[in-house]
Amino acid sequence: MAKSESKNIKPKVKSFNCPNCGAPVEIKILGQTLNVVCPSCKSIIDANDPNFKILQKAVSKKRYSAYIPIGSRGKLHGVIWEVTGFVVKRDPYISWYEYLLFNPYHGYRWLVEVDGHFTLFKRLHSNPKSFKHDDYLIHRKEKFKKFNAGKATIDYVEGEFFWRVKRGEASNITDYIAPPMGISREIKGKEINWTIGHHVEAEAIQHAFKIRDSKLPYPIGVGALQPSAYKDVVKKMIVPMSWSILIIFAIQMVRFTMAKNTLVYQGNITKTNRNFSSLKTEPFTVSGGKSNIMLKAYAPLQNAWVYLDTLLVDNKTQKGIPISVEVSYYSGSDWSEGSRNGKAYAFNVPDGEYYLNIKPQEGGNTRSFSNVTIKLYRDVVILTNIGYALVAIIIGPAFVFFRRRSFEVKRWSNSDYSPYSHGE
Amino acid sequence: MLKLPCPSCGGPLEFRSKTTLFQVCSYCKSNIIRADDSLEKIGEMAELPEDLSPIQIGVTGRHKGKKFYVAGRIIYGWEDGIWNEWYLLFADGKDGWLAEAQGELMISFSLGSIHCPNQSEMILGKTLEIGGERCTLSDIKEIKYIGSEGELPFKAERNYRSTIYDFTFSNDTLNLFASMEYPDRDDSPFAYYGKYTDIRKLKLQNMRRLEGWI
Repeated sequence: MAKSESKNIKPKVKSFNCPNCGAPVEIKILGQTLNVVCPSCKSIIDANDPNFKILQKAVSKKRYSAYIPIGSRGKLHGVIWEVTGFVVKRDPYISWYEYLLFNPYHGYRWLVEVDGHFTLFKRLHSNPKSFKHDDYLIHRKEKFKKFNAGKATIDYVEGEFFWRVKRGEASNITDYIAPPMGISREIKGKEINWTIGHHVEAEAIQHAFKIRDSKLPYPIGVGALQPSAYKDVVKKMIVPMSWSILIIFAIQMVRFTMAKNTLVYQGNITKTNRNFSSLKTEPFTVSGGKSNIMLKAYAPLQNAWVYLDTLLVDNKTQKGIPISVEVSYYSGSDWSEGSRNGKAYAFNVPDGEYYLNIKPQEGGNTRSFSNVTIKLYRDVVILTNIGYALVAIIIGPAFVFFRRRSFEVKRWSNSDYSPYSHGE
Repeated sequence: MLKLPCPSCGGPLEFRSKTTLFQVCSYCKSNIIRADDSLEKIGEMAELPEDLSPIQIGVTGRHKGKKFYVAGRIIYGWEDGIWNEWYLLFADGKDGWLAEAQGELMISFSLGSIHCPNQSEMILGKTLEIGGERCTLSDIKEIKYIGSEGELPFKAERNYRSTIYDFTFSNDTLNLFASMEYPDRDDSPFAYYGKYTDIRKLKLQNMRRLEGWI
């Protein structure tokens, strides 16, 4: 008995003539379809009435054409779906398209298209908990934020439906989002229907249903459930970014403990007759291997600047390495700018005997000071390097963060509940 | 399995379970009622409405690791259409139901009359606790018997009518399902408790092979 039943069964189709216009009408989903729309005159017909009673005649001549025609099939996530119904709904701002999909083994799905963005919905089998006066829902530990709420009216229907459809019928729809997922609640009289859906790329729909390139609407703006390309990037960046920062700090820690920070020269540059003059220091020895050199200058100046145009000169070869340093400090009763300390660096300086060749320049209130103290160190830790490294590491993620934010601002620009708007 | 000849046409009738009290002969469509080992014809089944269901008698599947066999079906009607209740016999002798409505599958087991409040208290939005889980009365429908096939644990009556109350749970991971049935002829109500499921989770085999869909 079981064996004979494993042969293929050809699904039966109920055919009749539309009692309004006489055009042929077919019902394919026997046992489920309640209402069917005449493909010709668009009258809504009671599918289970023995005389196929007309429930609603089409009053308006207004017709919409489905991008994915009734009867077309497409494979989404491994399941073949047939478009069995097409509904156009509108609220005071926009109208959108809903396709009812069917597979006898997997039931029904709704493919909703708003502004060229597609979402595939199915029934939700639990009552999500609502929080903060319906501000958000929690479903499976995910927070779904309220995106839009309003009254939607059916403008147009085509195909067959397992519920009673009626043009002009209104329902209250509230959408909650946790991109790429969304939950929708539809209240129609006493009936409450919850559905849960996820974003589907327009190309995937086009490919699945074999729709010609130009036929699908071009996606406008950011879809309510469109996944942010930047969301994952930020997540992916966090680990390498943290490691880089840790490594840099580790290297700096090593530098701090290893650096010798030896004072190789110190001196005082004093004005004669209120003026600086060029000078050459006594020679001094730099030893311990190639390393960096830091020139530190201190001047007790006030609202003035001093610039020491300095060369670190090798006594043997007379070759100079520039290591000019500036000190400038300005202040008023409640502000100050600059510092009385200045620093300059030279790098990869080999061992040897050196002297400094200094040409001081000054400006501002030059009377405020009469001398500059200088100190020369070798093998020092340069903190600004950490700063540059950190900036270099953070600049990418920061850019992504701002792109991501602007993406979310665009998404929520279609919502009355945008967390980014502070209007009203 | 007990095999007896149909008292009407003599064709073989299989009784897979001791709980089977009623059967529609697959040959002559006679309604057969069983009392001990004697069979009695109590009427004939009209042609069942066509549908696109992937399930049929003989389908096997698994639920919580236990194998079941689809032994019978009742078709019920309500104002918005019809649906199937498939009668499941488990290998361990237990039985259950697989409801198939609007493309959804719900597997459930009878809890008897416990949990069923007084029918006058059954108002949309009423909350209850079943199996430690909170649920809300979300749908009420008047139903009537349309037809049946195969084996059933009770006598399917042509004029059977009842009110069904469906509950939705707050638990968002278990896909729980519960409904309560209050027969019009003042019999005691029944509660059914189970979960939403699908053909993949149930690992259904020997399903109808619908041309164009396989």
